[in-house]
Amino acid sequence: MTSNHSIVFEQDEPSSGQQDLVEINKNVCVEEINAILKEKKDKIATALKVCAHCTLCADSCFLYRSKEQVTEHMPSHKFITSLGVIYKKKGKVTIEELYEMRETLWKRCVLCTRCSCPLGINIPELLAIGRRILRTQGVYHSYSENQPLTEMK
Amino acid sequence: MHNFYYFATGPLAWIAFLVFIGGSIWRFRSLLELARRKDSIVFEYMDTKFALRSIVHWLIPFGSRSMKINPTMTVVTFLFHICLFLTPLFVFGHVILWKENFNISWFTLPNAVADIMTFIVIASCLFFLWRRIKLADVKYLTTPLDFIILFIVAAPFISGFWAYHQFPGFATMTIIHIISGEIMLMAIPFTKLFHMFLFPFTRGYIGSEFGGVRMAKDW
Ligand code: HEM
Ligand code: HEM
Ligand code: SF4
Ligand code: SF4
Repeated sequence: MTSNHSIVFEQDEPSSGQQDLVEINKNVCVEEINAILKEKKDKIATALKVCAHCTLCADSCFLYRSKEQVTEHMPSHKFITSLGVIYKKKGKVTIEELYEMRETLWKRCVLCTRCSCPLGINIPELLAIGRRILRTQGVYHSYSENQPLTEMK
Repeated sequence: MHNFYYFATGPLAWIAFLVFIGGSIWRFRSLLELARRKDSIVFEYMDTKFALRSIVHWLIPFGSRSMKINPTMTVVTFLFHICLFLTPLFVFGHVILWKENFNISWFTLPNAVADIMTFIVIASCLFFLWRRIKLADVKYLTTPLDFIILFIVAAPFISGFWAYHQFPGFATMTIIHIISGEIMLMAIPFTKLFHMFLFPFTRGYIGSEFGGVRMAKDW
C-alpha cells in the first residue's frame, strides 16, 4: 500500500521536483532546527504527550477521505512522523529524512486547518512548524518559496 | 502477606497520591513556564468565552462532527470515561477506606451498579485493544506504550472486581488491586493519561484560535 502511494505522489509532482533534488544541500544545521524546537517546545511536547493515538482525526482531513483513506493521510500520523521525529531526535536528522518529510508536510497536507482532534491538539499548527523547520534547511517545494509574490513567475 | 497489605494501603498509598498530585503540578508548571518564556503568544490567544464554548461542545455526546462520524467510538469512549472516573470515587470499598482512615464519607454506588460500571470499563478496554490490533489506521499509530497504558488502566478494574467478588485467590488479588490502582495514579502525570488535565487547555487553545482568529466553529 505504501509503495503504491509514493508512486501516486511522484506522478503528482511535475519535473520541478527533480530540480529540487539536484540542489540538495547536504548539511543539516542542527542549531537552526533546535532554535525553532525550543521556541515551540511547549506545543510540540504537549501534543506528542497528549495524543491518544486514537485516529479520530483521520476522518476530518479531506485528503484522507479522498485518497482512499490511506494511513499516511491521517493528520496525527503526519505530525508524528515529521515534526515528532525531528523533536525526538533533537534536530539530528539527515537531509534524506527531511526530504521524506517534505512529502508529508507539503504533498499530504494543504494546511487547510480543518482537521479536528477531540483533545484539541492543534495539528495544522504543528504541521506549519514542521514546514518552517524544513524551510530553514532549504527543503521545500518550489511553489512554496519564501519570496515576495511579485517575484514569482 | 498482612504486612504487605499494610504497606500497600499505608506508605505506598501516600507515595502514590503524592506522585500523582506532585507530578501533575510539576508537569503543569514546567509547561506553563516554557510557554511563558518562549511562546507567550499562547496567552494572548486565550479567550475564556471561546475556550469554554469549545470545551462544552466536545464534552457533550455527539456535540461535534467528529463524534457523529464515529458513533461507535463516541458511545464507547463516553461510557468508558464516565465509568472510569466515577467508579473509583464512589465504589463502596473505597469510600469505606476514606471513612476508616479520615472519617469522611460520601455517596456510594449500589453494588450492582458498581459491577456494571466496572464491566463497562473492562469491555471498553477490550474494544480499544481490538481497535489497536485490527484496524489498520489505529494499528499504524499504536506504540507498545499504548498497550501498556491500556493494561495499566484495565488492571485495577479487573482486580477490583475479582477481589470484591471473592473469586479464588482474592486476598492476593486485593493486594494486586491496590498496587495496580497506585500504579495507574502514578502513571497519570507522566503518560498520555495526563490528557485528563491538559484537555481544557489544549481544547481551550484551539477553541480560542477558531473563535477569535478564524471566526469559525471547531466542533
Ligand atoms: C485509581 C485506581 C483504582 C481503581 C480504578 C479502582 C477500582 C476498583 C473497583 C472497580 C473495585 C470493585 C468494584 C466492584 O466490582 O463492585 C474496587 C474495589 C476496592 N478497591 Fe479499588 N481501585 C483503585 C485504587 C485502589 C486503591 C489505591 C486502594 C487502596 C488503597 C483500593 C482499595 C479497594 C478495596 C479495598 C476494594 C474492595 C475490595 C473488596 O471488597 O475486597 N483501590 N476498586
Ligand atoms: C476528564 C477528562 C477527560 C477527557 C476529556 C478525556 C478525553 C479523551 C479523549 C478525547 C480520548 C481519545 C478518544 C478515545 O480513544 O477514547 C481519550 C482516550 C483515552 N483516555 Fe481519556 N479523557 C479524560 C480523562 C481520562 C482519565 C481520568 C483516564 C484514566 C486515567 C483516561 C484514560 C484514557 C485512555 C486509556 C484512553 C485511550 C483509549 C485507547 O487506547 O484508545 N482519560 N480520552
Ligand atoms: S484525534 Fe487527536 S489524539 Fe487522536 S490520534 Fe488524532 S491527534 Fe492524536
Ligand atoms: S490541515 Fe492538513 S492534515 Fe489537517 S485537514 Fe487540512 S490537509 Fe488534512
